[in-house]
Amino acid sequence: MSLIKQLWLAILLIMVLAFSASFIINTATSKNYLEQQLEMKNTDNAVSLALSISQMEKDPVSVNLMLSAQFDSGHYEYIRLTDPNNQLITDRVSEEANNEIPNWFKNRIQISPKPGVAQIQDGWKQYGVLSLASSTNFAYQDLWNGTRWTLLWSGIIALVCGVIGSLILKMIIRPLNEMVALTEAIGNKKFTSIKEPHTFEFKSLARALNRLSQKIKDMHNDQSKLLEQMRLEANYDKITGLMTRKYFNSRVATHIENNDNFIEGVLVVSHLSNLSEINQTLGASEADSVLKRMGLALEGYCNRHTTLIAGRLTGSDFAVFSSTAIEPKALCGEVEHALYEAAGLEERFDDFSLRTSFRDIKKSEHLNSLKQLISTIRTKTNASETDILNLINQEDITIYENSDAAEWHAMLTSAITAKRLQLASFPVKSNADKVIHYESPARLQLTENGPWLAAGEFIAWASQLGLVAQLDLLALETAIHTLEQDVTRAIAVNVSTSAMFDPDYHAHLNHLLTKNASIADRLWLEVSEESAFENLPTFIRFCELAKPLGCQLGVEHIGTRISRLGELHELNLDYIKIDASIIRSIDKSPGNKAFLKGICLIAHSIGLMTIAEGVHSAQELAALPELGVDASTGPAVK
Amino acid sequence: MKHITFFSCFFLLLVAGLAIANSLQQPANLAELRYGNQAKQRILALESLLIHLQPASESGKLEGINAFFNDNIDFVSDQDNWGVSDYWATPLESLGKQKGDCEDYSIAKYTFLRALGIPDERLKMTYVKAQIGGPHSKVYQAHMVLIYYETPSAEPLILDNLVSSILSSSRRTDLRPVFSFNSTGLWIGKSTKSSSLKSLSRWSDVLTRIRNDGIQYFNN
Repeated sequence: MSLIKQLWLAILLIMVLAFSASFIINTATSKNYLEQQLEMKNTDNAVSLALSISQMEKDPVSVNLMLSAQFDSGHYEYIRLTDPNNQLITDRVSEEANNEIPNWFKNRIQISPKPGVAQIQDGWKQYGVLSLASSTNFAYQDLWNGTRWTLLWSGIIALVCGVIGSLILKMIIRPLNEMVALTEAIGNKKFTSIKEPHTFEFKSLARALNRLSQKIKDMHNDQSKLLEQMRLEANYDKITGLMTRKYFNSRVATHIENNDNFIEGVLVVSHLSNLSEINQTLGASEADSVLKRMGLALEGYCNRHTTLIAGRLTGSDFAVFSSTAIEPKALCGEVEHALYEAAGLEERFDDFSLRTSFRDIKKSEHLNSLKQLISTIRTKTNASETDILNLINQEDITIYENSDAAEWHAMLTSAITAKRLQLASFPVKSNADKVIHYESPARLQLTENGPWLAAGEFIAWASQLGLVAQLDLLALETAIHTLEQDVTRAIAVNVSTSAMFDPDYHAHLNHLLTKNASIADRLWLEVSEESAFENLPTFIRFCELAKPLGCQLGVEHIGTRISRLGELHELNLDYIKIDASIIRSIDKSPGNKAFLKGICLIAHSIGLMTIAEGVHSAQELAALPELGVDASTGPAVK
Repeated sequence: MKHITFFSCFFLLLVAGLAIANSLQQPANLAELRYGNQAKQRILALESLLIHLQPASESGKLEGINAFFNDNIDFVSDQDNWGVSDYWATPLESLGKQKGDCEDYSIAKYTFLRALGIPDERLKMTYVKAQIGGPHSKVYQAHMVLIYYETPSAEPLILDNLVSSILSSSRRTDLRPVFSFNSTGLWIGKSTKSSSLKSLSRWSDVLTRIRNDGIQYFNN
């Protein structure tokens, strides 16, 4: 039984006791008073009637008349006349009973005043004894009314007291409820804090709980930071702070192979031709600081463009990869410029030079060919500019690239209106080989009976034309339709930044899930790491909207913002998907293994399920469970 | 056998007498405290009379009690005795002051006849209209006497302070009965502070005070 209920019962008991005590005393006092009054009336009436009869002729008619007159004009239960030998002479008995008063009440209270008795003389002789009793109906009526009023008012007062009492109780108890909620939240690995209440005992308890919560929270943050550091050490060059060649390759490969949005990109490699000369002239530490400056400059340049990543391939090779198609020559120029500026060595070394070349990257290219590609570029950096330009592969340009914005708008709108959207289906399987849900990226048919295109081929235009939220909504509707058709299926749907911001999307989500409450827990909504963290307030609002509807919430492509993982734990999320760049060759990379293990540890400690993305090989798949990964997806998961 | 009966009768009477003697001890002390040693002596004399009358016949009891109070109380009006127009005194007060008016005689006689075991229904306090100064007098006075019925329908005997001997009603042509009462059906307050109970009638008030004086052996 809850505390508030027990307190309530205690109050109720006390009130009932107090009221019934006052009620019983009240009734008893009234009863005694009424009884005394009636006894006095009985005696007085008997004496005055006896006196009157004593004074007059005692013929039966007169006596009877006398009795009748008294009886009929007064309120009597009976008037009885007996002779000195106790034989009845005559009597009058009332037959009316007050039916308004229930018998149980009469039996319980029992007003019984003593009858009045008086002697009647006939000269010196005794004529008889007169006894009479007044009617108690009026007394019962009075008592009954009084009792009912007392009960009614007691009830009303008790009700008012009860309402006020429960309000006060609620006020007193409220901090306790908050503390219970906090304790439960800690149990569920959510480390929030509460405002300290005014009640002394609650205050110290709340303070202790807050401290506990904060401590665990700090522990998680420390752990995240440690992990971040591990990641940097394992995957980033110590001197320049740029990605190591291995990690850079893996990131590029992930972009090309796993990112549905990728369609075409640019790879730029810049070669510092006389590093050994610089080393000899300036000394190792001075040369390192030059490299560091260059690394910082390149890093800074890439951070200004979210689609760029930078890496140091070898001692003298810097690389920049753009995951979108941009003007390659301009990129080359800007990269070269940034590096030059940072190095600041043109004046000290006449032959200080950077050789930069580029290459367009298509979706179809594989990891192995990528390595080859990089080495090709490196050898070509010594070649002339025209040669480099020849490397540009212009054959793969699709027909749509020539279309202009108006045409794209028409095609996308017609696809949306005609609902020419399909969901692809890639299973996500738990370690027990059970399908948790299907990843379902959208495929769009721009023209009727045309090819089904992956997001990468239309997303740039959709984004430019502001149609992403509509596409997401269509995908959501398609997913919910599928869920209704197949009651065993669970589907994960991507929520883009635009959709997250779109009130229309929110309203539809709310409407569709409220209408189909049974499917909500089979719908998994995921937002990319970048989108979630760059728009955290919006993401939080989205979570607050979506979570109560009953669906599963997660963040995908986790990998570069590990230190901020702690910020997720108050959002009541269900899972994270770990980016393929971390999973790649996990079986062979001790550094990434430790890193992944750390991520999983943090995720589990804040109650999140961990899913690995882009698992390519059986070896990778086999290595995952012992690192703490709960489920996997990718080409190796079928 | 005869001896045993006699002996047990004697023993019972002795016990009854002792009971009365014991019960009058408190009124005697009270009388001494309030009215002096002489008053106490009168109470003790009454006590020995009660013991003496215990085995007597009802008529003997009537004669004894009537004579005792007629002899021991002098008639004085309430105005002179108590300073109020009407005051019903207890036997202790009447004997203590050795003064009383008609209802004080009647109350005292009633009390101790009841104490001697005469049932309530045979005794009645009666308001009478008394003709003062012979059969042709035009002077009438309100008066109170105690009357005794041997049987319910018998002619009553009248115990009066105006006439020392007990006469039957037919011989008292100077008296006209008006109303009579006894303690049948009467409720006597149990409170010791009887004077504060305004609701009591004069009659039940005096009965309560009698009991408070320590004379407790008559019952309704």
